[in-house]
Amino acid sequence: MIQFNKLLLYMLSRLDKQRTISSAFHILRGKKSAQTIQDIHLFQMQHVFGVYQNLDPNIYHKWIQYFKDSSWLTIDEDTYTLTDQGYDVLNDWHDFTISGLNGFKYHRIDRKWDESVKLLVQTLSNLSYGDKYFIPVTDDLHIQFRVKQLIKKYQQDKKLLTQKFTSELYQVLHALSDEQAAFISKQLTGYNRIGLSKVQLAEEYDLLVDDIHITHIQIIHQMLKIIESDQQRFPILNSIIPVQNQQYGMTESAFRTFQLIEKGYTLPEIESLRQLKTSTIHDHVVEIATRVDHFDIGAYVDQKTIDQVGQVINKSESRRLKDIKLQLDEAVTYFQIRLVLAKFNQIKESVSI
Amino acid sequence: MNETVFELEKQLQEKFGFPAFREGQKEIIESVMNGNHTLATLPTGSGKSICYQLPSILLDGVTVVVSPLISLMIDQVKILKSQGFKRVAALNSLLDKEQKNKTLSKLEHYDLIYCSPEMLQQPVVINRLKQIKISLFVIDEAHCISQWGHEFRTDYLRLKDVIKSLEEPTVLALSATATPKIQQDIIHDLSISLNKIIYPMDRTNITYQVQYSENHSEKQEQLVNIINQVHAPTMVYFSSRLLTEEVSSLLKKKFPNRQIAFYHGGMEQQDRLLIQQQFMHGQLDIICCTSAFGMGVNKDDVRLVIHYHLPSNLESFIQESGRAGRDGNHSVSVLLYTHGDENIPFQMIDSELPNDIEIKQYIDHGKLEDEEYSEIKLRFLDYQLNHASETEFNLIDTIKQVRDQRKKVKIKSLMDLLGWIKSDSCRREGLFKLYQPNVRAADYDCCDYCGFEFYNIDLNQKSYVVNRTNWEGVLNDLFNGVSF
Repeated sequence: MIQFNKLLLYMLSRLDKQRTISSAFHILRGKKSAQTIQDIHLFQMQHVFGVYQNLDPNIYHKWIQYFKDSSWLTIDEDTYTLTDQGYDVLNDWHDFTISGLNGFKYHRIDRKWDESVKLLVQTLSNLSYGDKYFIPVTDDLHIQFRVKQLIKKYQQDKKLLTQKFTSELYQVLHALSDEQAAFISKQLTGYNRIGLSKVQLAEEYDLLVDDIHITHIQIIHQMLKIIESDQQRFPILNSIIPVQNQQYGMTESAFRTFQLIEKGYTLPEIESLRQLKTSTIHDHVVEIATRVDHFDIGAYVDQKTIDQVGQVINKSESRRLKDIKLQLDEAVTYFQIRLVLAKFNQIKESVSI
Repeated sequence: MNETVFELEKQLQEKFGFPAFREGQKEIIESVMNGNHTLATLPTGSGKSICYQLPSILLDGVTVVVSPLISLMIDQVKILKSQGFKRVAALNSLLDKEQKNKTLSKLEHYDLIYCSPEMLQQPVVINRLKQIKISLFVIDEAHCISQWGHEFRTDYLRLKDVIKSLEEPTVLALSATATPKIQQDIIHDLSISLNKIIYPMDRTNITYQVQYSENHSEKQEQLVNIINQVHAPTMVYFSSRLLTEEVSSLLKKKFPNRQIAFYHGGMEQQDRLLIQQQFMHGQLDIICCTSAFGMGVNKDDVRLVIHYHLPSNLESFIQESGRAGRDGNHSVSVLLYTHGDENIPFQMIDSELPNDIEIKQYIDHGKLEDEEYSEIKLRFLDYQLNHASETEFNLIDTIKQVRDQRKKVKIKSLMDLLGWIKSDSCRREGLFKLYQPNVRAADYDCCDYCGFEFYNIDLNQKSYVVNRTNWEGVLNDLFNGVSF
């Protein structure tokens, strides 16, 4: 079980004195801004990206208030500082682990896959008791359609599908700890048995709904990893993973900018073509640089500047753009620094993974 | 004639699995099947929707149902689909453009289309409807057409023109809360002649009770005492989300062996669905909820409905307490009242309609500052502005007058409820005398005034406890023992 307050304090400690208090919020929600995408690479926080996409800003601020009231952190003008007390608390939670979370990889598919599994369980459960009619556990028409398609494929032998599917489900749950398997099984809805809601799970485990959410996402990520690594053993569970569009995982808008750059348009041309602000186009380019390995930033920063910025980054502890810029020639722009940082992180990442 | 009656009953069994019609249903269905415009009233919870759902399947062409609440519409479609009816759709503002176009393009393939009144104002929708055969045009919650109704909807006034432009298909106007005066309004505003089928509104299987308390802790005590005596499917209505949660957790502590949950509009969609389903499947004993719960909840065996707070008017009270005992068996409605409880609904009335500043703001700028209830306010203002004559000198004053009149209706309805609570006479008589000349005798106990006491009833009916202890066992149960 992951406790949300521990996860949050851990995240805040990574961004300590470097970013604003809202940065962790954006990371949890999986904000697709160039800044946030860059931050997660810079501070090695890919695994927690987008793991709480419907986190309510009010709830987030209540947590921050609680940390402040507990004297674990202080908020400064444009950043915040974790106190010694804050670090002590964090160190005391030595049992705390977030292994298994892989937000950057799974944030686009985790919840939809989970809903698909639940709908398939509900459908096959009802069918195996001879009941064709029930109210589906998800309103998502897309998911309903895909599950229907799958069942149609086995029109002739639904029993075979049920057998194959239950066997896959059993195996993937078996690969988890008993506690985790129970956590998932309590949520399953089927014939004449309706699954528990998040609030009910929180009551049962005597945890907060936030804890339940994060724990659930963590288990889903583990399940996804298990089934992806052995596609032959889990064909059905793999087949209901939502299809991702091949855009290097970037936003629609950034992808369109990328397409135009590849066609040879200059940034000012794209700006007027797309009727967007310079800063927006710059955000796109940074996002592209972060996502696309072969994207060459040479058109926007000369090699000399790249080297200079690289040196400062290597030397400096701070990852704040302002701190970095102060150590450089005045002519170097924030845009250029961000581009170099993007590439710099790509290299570091490919080494560390 | 006998043959068609037999046919209808056979169809009811075949399509819906009901062995027989409930009171009134058959007469209404026959009336519309014979092509008569019909105004029908049936008590709440008596299966009004069958009156158009069955004809929609039997008649050639499409049945259009105008329904004022989008959430109700969506629930109905969901339930129908879950029963195997595929040719049903909803047209409302929640659809995105693609979904809407898709639905519109295959309109004639449906038997039944739920439609919000504002959708019927869109030329694309009307033009499309003109191209298909509409066999039945249903106005659900028809009392919304009346200025004297508690739920007056300006866009219902435009239905008259819609019916005309569709070349007057058979019309069925349905309501569960239409006084004779409102019935007259419906006939007048639709300006077609309607065959009136009026059934009494009173629910003879429900016992009514009002309990007074001095303060909130006493009220809580009363609630606990009642729950202690009745272990059966129970709904407790609150006017605040926070209190559904607080009282739910209090009850859990007091009754660790009961299955208790809360439900309100602020919950995540998935959680809402699960809680609703648990209640429908008899896996909860008690649900603490706001009025967001219960629309389209088809649970026949709710035995006890408790109002912890006041609803906003008498009609809402009749409707919500009417969720009890749809199966016709003995059920109880309790309203818990503490002096001052009326403050919340009075405030609601005040904040639902635009104030003077907002009226001016809207007329000057065509919009309102973003805030609560703005949708209801905008709907009101929009209609008023569109229907003001061009020569209107004093638009603002006119709108203010209309608003004040709406306010008066709402305040009166709330005062009626308060008067009923404080009255010293038969509860049943007081609730229904506005609707019908003779209130029928109760099947079981009548009300607190007529001598009902809680301790001598037996409504017990416990929830089904789902075993979730070991995950392998859960899988085994889920898939009927299929081996893995």
